[in-house]
Amino acid sequence: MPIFNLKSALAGLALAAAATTAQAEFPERDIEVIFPWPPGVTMTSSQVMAEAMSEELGVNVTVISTPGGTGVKAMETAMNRPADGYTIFDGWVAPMVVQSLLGNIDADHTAFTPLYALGAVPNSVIVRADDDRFPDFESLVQYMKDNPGDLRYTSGAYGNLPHVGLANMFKATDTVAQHVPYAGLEEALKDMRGGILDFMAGNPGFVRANSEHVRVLTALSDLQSVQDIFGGVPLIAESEAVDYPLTGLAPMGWSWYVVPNGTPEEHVEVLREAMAAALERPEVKGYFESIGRPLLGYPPEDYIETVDAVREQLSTATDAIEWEAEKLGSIQ
Amino acid sequence: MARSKPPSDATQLGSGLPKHPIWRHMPAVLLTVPCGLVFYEAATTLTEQGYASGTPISNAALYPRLLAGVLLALLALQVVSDVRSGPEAAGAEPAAAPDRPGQMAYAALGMVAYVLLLPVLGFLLATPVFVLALLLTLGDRNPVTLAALPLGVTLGCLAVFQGLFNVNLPRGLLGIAVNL
Amino acid sequence: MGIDALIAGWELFGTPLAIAMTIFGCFLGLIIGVMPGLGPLMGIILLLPAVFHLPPVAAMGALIAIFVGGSCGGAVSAIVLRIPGTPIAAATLLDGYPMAQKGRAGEAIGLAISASAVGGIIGGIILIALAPVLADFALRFGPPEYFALTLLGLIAIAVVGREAPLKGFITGVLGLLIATIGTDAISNAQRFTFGHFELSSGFHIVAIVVGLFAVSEVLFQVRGGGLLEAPKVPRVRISLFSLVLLLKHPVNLVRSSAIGTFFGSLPGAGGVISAFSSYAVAKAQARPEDGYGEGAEGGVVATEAANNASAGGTLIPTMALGVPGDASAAVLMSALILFGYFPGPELFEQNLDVAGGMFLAYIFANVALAGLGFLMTPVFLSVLRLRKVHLLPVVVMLSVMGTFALQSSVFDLWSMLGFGALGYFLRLHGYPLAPIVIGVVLGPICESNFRRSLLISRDGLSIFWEREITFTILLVTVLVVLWGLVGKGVSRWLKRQFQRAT
Repeated sequence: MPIFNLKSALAGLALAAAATTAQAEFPERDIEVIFPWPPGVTMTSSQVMAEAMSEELGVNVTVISTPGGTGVKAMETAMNRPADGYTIFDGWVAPMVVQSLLGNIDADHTAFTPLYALGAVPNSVIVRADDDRFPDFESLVQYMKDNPGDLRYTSGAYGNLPHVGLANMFKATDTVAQHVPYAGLEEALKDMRGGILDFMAGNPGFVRANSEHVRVLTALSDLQSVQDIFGGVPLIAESEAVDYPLTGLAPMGWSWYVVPNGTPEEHVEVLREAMAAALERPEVKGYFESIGRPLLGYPPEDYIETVDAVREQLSTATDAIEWEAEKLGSIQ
Repeated sequence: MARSKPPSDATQLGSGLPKHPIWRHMPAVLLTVPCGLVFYEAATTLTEQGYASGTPISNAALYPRLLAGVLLALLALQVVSDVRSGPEAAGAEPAAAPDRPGQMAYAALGMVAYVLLLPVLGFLLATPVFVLALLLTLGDRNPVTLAALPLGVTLGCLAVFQGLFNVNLPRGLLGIAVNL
Repeated sequence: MGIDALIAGWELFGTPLAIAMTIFGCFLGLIIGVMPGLGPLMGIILLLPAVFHLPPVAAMGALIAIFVGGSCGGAVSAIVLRIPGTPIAAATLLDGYPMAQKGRAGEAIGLAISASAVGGIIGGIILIALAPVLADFALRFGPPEYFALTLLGLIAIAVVGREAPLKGFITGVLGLLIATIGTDAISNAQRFTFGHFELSSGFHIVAIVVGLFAVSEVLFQVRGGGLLEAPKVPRVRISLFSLVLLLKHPVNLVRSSAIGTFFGSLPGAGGVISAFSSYAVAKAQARPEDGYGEGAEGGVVATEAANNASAGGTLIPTMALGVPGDASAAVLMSALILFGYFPGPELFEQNLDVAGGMFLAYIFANVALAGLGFLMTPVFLSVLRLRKVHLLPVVVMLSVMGTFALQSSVFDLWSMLGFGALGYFLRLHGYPLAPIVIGVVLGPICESNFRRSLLISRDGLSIFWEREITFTILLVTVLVVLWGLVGKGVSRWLKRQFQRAT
C-alpha cells in the first residue's frame, strides 16, 4: 500500500496547477471504500483489493474504517454519500442482510448497485486443543443434551453471523449454552484457555494463527471447499447429530463491493472493469489464499440472486437467536 | 493531570467570572443534564426496545444508569463540599494579570464559523480567510506574517492531508479543489 | 520473553519508515515540549490523526517518540527561561536555572538531555523485562479481574497526587458515561444516539481528546494574552562534555531512573511525582557542598532521568494490562486499539511483533533523543522565540484538519468543538480533564467485563467477591476511594487532635 505518496505531496507544494473544476475522465480524484469493521485482517483484505483497483484506475482507492452498529453506520454513511462513483461500500452480509432483517436499518442490498463479490469467511466450532471432554462434535452435542445450559461459549459479538450459525445448531439439536459476548476472538480465546468458556466460533485465519491452542470440531458448512480450507475437518452437514438448516453462503460472512444506487452507469462500468481485473491479480488471489478465505469473485449479474438466497435462509435463521435466549431463560 | 496540565493553569485565569455565587456550582448543575438524559433515554427509547431489562446481554441500560446514579451522588457531594469550604476556596481562581475574554470569544466564534463554512466554501477558500481572521483577532499586524501564514498554512495542510494522506478535503458547493 | 519480543519486533520496526517516523516523532516531541504550555500529551494528540495513515508500528513509534521527546523538551525552557515547558520539568528548574545563571546553560541542557536519554533507556529495559512477565501473569485474569482492574486504574488516576480527588472522580465517571454513547457492544442497542447514525460508534476518541485538550488550550492561551511577546532567549552551545559530567553521577542516575520507572508504572503517579521524589532522594543523599538548589548537577540528573524513565514505567501497565497510567498513555492505548490491537496478554500472545516493535521504538526514541538533543538544541531554542500569535493558528488548523481527516466527517468537527467548550468550562472550574480521557478509553472495557462477569456468574454479583484476585483488587480500590474522599479530612483532623494534645 502506498502510505506516502511523495510525488503528489511535492506536486502539492509546488501547486502550479490552478483549481480545476472541469469535467474530466472518470475517475479524476481519489475513491473511498467505506468499510464497516475496525481495522484488522478483514480490513487488510479489503485494502489489498482497493490497492489492486487503485493500480487499475490510476487514482488512490482508500479504505475508511467506519465501525458501529454491526455495520449499520458504514451502510448509512455510504448511502448518504453522493452517488458519483467516488464512494464504494464494502457491503458485508451483517448490515446488508442481518441488520436489515432485524429492522435496524431501513434499507437492504437493493439500495446498492453491485460491482463484484469479494471474500467469504466460513465458520467452525472450536474447543481447547487439550479439552478431552469433547473429542468430536457429537460428544459436544451429547454433553449439552445431558447438561442443558451448562456450557459457556462465544461467537464474538452477540447476534453476529457466527452466532446465527451456532444458534441454528442449538435449535436443530434442541440444546443450548450461555453466549458470552466479546469484542474480539483473541480476547475470548484467552478466557477459553482459562476455562471460562467451553467452546467458541472460529474462522480459518483465527484457527491457523492459534493452531497450538485450539481444535476444530466441525465446520459450519456443506461445501467441500470450506472443508478444504479448514484442513479436512468434518462438515456439520455430514454429522449424524444434527440436521443443519443453513447451506451455501448462508452460514458464512461475505461481502460485495457495491456503490449507491444512482451512480452513473459509465462510472459503474469503469469500476467493474477495474475490479474484474483486480480479482485476477496474483497478489490478490495470493493474499486471500494466505488468510484462508475464499475469494468469491461473483459477477454483478449474480448479485440479486445470491443475496436473495441468503436473505431467504437467514430470514428464518435469525429467529434461532431468539429461540436460544428463550430456551436459556426457561432453564435458568 | 500530571503531564497534561499546562502552566497556564498555574497562572489562573478567571477575572471575567461573574461574581454570582451560583457560578461555581455551574459544573455540578450542568452535569446533571447528561444524568437526566441517561435516565430519560433508559425509561423511554431503551425500555420500548426491550433494552432496559432482562439478562446482562439485553439490559443495556443497567450500567449507564449505575454510572448516572454515581455521578449524581458525586455532584451532590461536590456542591456540599463547595458550600462548606466557603466562597474563596471554590473554583473561581484569582485573576492573572492579562485576561482577554473578548478576544477568546472571537477566536471561539471564528472556529465555529470556520467549521460552518468549510463544507460551503470548500477548504481552499475557507482556510486562508479563517487563518487571516484569526491572526487579526489575536492582534497580529505584521504584513509579512499576515500574508505568509494564511497561504503557508493552507498549502501546508493541502500538501500533508491531501497529498500525503489522500484525504478528500471539502470542495464546497462550488467544487473548488486542486488535483495533486 | 522480552528478547523474543525484540526479535519479532525488529521485523516491523526495522524499516526505514518506522525508524524515520520515530526520529521525526522525537524531534516533534522535543519542539512541543520546549514550547511552554504544550506538553507530550498535546504532541501525541496533534499527531494522532496523521499517523493513522501509517503502518501500525511506524505510527506507534512516532507517538511513543513524541511521548519521549516531549517528556524531555520541557527541561530546555526550564533551564534557559525559568519556565518549565511541561509540568514534569518543574523540578528541573530547581537546579537547572541556577546552573544557567552561573553561565553553565549549555552544560545544564546537555546534562538534562543525556540524563533523560539514559534514564529513558533504563526505564525501557525495565519495561521490556517486566511487561511480558506481567502480561503472562494476567493471562489468568478473566472478566471479573479486568473489571476490577479498570476500576482501580481509573480511580487511582483521580486520587493519586491530586488536589481535588472528588472533581477527578466526577470527570472520570463523566468519561465512562461518554463511552456508553453509541452501539452497545453487547446488546447492539443504540444508546444515547438520539437518532443520529453518526453517533452509532460514539464520539471519535480523537475528536474528544483534540477538543478537550487542544481546543481548550488554545482558548486559554488566547485569554491569557501575551500573544505578541517574544521571549529573549540567550545563545547556548551544547558540548559533548556534558556526557562526562553525567558519568560523575552513576548512582544518582540509576537510582533516579528506577524511582521514575516505579512511579511511572503506578496509574496516576506519573512524571511529576517521579521527578520530585527522585530529586528529594538525591538531595537527601547528597553532601552539603553539592549545593542542591543552587545549581547542582545532581539535581538536573535526578529529575530528568526520573521523568523520562517514568514514561517507560507508564507503558508497563498500559501494554501488559491495558490500564493506562496517565492521559498520554491512554491516548497511546486508544491509538493501538484503533489499529486493531488490544493491549494486555493478547498483545503479547497474538501480536508479539507489535509489542516488540513498540519496545524498540521506545528504546530507539531515547537514543534519538540524545542525538537530536546534542545536534539541534539551537533549533529548539529558536522555537522559543516564536510568537504565540503565529503558533496558535497552526495548532487550530492541525486540530481541525486532523480531526476531519479521520473519517472525512464534519460531524467529528462539531464534536471536537463541543468537547473544546466542555474542556474549557471544566478547566475554568478546576476540574481535571485527564480522567475523562481515561474514562472514555477504559469505559468499553469496564462495561463489557462487568456485564460479562454477570453472565459468567451463576448468581449475580457474588462473582466479584468469590474470586480471590478480583476481591483483592476491589478491596484496594475501595481503600483508594476512601482515601480520596476522606484522606485530607482525616489527616487534618489528626493534626488538630495532635495540636490539641500538645
